[in-house]
Amino acid sequence: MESKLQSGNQMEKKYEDEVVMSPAKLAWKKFKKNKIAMTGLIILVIILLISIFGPILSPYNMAAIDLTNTTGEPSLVHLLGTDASGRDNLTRVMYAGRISLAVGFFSVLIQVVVGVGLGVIAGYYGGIIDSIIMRLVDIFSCLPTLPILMMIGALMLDLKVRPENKMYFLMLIIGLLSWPGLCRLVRGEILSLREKEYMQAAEALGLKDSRKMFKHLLPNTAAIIIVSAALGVGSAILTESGLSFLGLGVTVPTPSWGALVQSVSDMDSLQSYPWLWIPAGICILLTVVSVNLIGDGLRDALDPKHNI
Amino acid sequence: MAEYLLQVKNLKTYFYTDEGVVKAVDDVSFNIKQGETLAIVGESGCGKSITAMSIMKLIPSPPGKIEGGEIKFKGKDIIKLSDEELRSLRGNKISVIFQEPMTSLNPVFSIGDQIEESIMLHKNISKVEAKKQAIEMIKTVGIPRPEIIADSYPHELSGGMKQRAMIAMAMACDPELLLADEPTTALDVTIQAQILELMKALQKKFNTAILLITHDLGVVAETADYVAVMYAGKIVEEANVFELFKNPSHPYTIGLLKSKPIINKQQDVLYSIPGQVPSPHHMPKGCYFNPRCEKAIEKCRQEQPKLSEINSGHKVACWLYEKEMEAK
Amino acid sequence: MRQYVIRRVLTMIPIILGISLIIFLIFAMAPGDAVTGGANAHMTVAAKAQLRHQMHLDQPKLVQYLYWLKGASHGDLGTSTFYKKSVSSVINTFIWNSFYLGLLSTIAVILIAIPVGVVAATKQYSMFDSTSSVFAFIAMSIPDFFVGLLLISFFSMNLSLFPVSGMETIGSTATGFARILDIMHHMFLPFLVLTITSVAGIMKYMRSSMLEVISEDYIRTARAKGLREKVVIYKHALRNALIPIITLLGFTIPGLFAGAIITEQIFSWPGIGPVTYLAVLNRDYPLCMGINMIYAVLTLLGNLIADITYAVVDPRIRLK
Repeated sequence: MESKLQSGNQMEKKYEDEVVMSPAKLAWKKFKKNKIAMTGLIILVIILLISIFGPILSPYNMAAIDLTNTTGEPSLVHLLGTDASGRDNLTRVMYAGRISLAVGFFSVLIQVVVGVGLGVIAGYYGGIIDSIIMRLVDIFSCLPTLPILMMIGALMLDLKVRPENKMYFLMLIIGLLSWPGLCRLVRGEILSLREKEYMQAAEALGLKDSRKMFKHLLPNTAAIIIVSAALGVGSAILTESGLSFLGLGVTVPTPSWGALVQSVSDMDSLQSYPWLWIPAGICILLTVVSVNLIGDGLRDALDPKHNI
Repeated sequence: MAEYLLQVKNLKTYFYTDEGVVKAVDDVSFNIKQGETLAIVGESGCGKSITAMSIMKLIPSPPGKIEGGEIKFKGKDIIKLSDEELRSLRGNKISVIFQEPMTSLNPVFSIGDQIEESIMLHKNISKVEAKKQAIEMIKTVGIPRPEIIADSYPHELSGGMKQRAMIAMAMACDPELLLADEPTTALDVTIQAQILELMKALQKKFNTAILLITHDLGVVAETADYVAVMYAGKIVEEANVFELFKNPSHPYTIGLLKSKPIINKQQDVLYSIPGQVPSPHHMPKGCYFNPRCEKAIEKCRQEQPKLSEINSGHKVACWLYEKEMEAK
Repeated sequence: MRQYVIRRVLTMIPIILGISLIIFLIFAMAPGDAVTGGANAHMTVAAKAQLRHQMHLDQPKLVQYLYWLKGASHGDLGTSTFYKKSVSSVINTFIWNSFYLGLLSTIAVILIAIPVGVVAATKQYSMFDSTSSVFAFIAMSIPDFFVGLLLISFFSMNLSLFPVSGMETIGSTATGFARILDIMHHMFLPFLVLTITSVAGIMKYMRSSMLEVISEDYIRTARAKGLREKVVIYKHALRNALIPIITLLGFTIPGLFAGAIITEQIFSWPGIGPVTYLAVLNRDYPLCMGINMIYAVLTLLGNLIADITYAVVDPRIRLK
């Protein structure tokens, strides 16, 4: 008997020496292997760095008007030319990155906090609380995003909100308009996880509600949340740039890539001043592509079923 | 030669993964006679399911590949068959029933449609006639109200009924060989018994040979004529069912039999074979079972034993029986 | 089924009320009112006061909302301050142009995205799969206004192949087939923009749905029956993979009418998009309110149609 136990223990020891990685580490390892996703990550980091440090290192202030040199062609002095008020285009494009990225990330942050919070509560408690939250989801998901944002933009103009602050309102509203999708997803996951055995075990242990929700259910929905958030950043950036293109988002002098694409207001200028509108558009494209690549890569890395 | 319906010789099915090659089926040979039931028994991951899937070349092809050996069905090697020839065998001369009846039936087609599809594919008859035969088959497998069930969808049936439907679909074209991959594992014990009864009755009626994959020795005792025990991709013991239970020879087989709890016997500690199945990427040197074997000798750690006869019809792959093997 | 639809329509009512309340709140926060606008600059103070009284603008906001609600329940969405016509007639004039554009674009998306998605899934990792994946990523990441401007710059300015704006050539007296051709000619570029930006999502969804279905057990069963691979993919797999896609299409119904504000604006396509934009710029609150409500109702209808289609297409779903 003793010898059997001993040999058994020796066997166990041998297996314990094998490295066991947490799901997060496993996912990161898988993500790193995905060259396309890593490319996206690198591009995003580069854009981030240029947005943050570019304007600091630039000899120009992004708002500095110079009426002697309007719509100047690209030159060694102004690498991307100047806009209609003589401001250096390159600096403005770099600075606009801060706006678009900030709006992208923070509106998603709001979306996640509200959406996940309400989703977990709705899924966990069910009953009346669930019904109320689902009604709210129904209402908010039927609100047409762009028209409402346009009205908010007009409202901000009427209320004479300062251009620097508009960004914050946009983050808030975009986040408040996009939380229903994530809320439904999370609620669905919680509903199916709730019945799993480890939750019954948690119940048997007499754990507090909040502990069950946040330490046991929530981490298992992390995969969905992370992927949804990553893809949401791209969507938020596109929304904000569209709004600014229409002049109802971030306004002059604060630059936004969307507004910069609009800086040529008539069709003939399109041909004459390509350096004014094309770089900003390409920036939006590159940023959203990289975010989407990362999101896709995360989905492959986090979803155990995706053995692709 | 002609008396064997299926002859598997030195079958090798490997899987190519990021972490290396997995030899899921590592040089496996066995034969099945017409109307006979061969059970392949072993723990999860020993390669028994892959063996069955290999016979019909149903291995997902990356990452799996049949690397060698022969699978002779009525004399013709399946591995060398063209796609068209293979397809005329599938569902027709050789049928499969799978472990999970819940997910093995297409949810958007009715039961009748799915059985008819099989019939019309292999027999040259009209749709009306096929429908009649499908309903007849549903009745044969013991499902009540066959006309109504034929128009029903899989999700409307219970697990046991779904498995019966699968059997109906598999037997619809009167196959000569039925591959049953753990057909009762996902079902309740009482339903298990019914399904096994059904299979035995059908076998008698249609004289079908059965290759039964299972991990349950009780099922083996109930239904098999002949048994092969698999471990880590290799067959370690092969015998007639009575012989196996009377004289288990390989330490693994002995361990398996010892592990099965016996009703009405007082046991303080349930026996289990110490250790774990080796990881497919770190197979031990010599006999694959040696790290867990109580009777392992030095030779076991160095060389792999070959499957050899020690008694009439009883084969073992174990160095403990070296003398008996040489005598033969 | 009828009971289900009736019940759903009944639950839509509180949702619509909630939406109208939220939108009205946004207007309520704005300074000034419909009469303050430049269009009425010529009026005397007394006349303005009278107009205000007529439009109930001198009442507290909540009362104004109730007046609107009363009208809306009879189908009267108020009067547009800019067009000086009833809101419903303004919407009716323009929304169908958006519909034609949206419909053609959606048909094109279906005809492209579904086959491409299926082939990409069946030939996973092939050159086709990688290429279509690259296109999809770019198409779903590019802003619609940027595509629009690029197309205009290239096709209209450089090549003079397509007109830049409008639905018909100005001063055109063409009728019948010639007229339709003229409209199509004008429609082509905005149609391209809408198609390019929408096709990627559906294509990726189709691909992943197909991949998921192909790995299901019942596909292995179909092969085990001896069916040809083409039958296994196009009968057994596709039928299942299409289910989520078809329901997804239900959700694109609101987009058929109202999804292209920026695109229509760029190309001056006379749809509901530029009308919405103008309404916001002009602070034409009744029109804004009406348009938003129409969008919301369309979204709800789209959801309902998606759910019904789901039940029709998937035998496992039975509406409760």
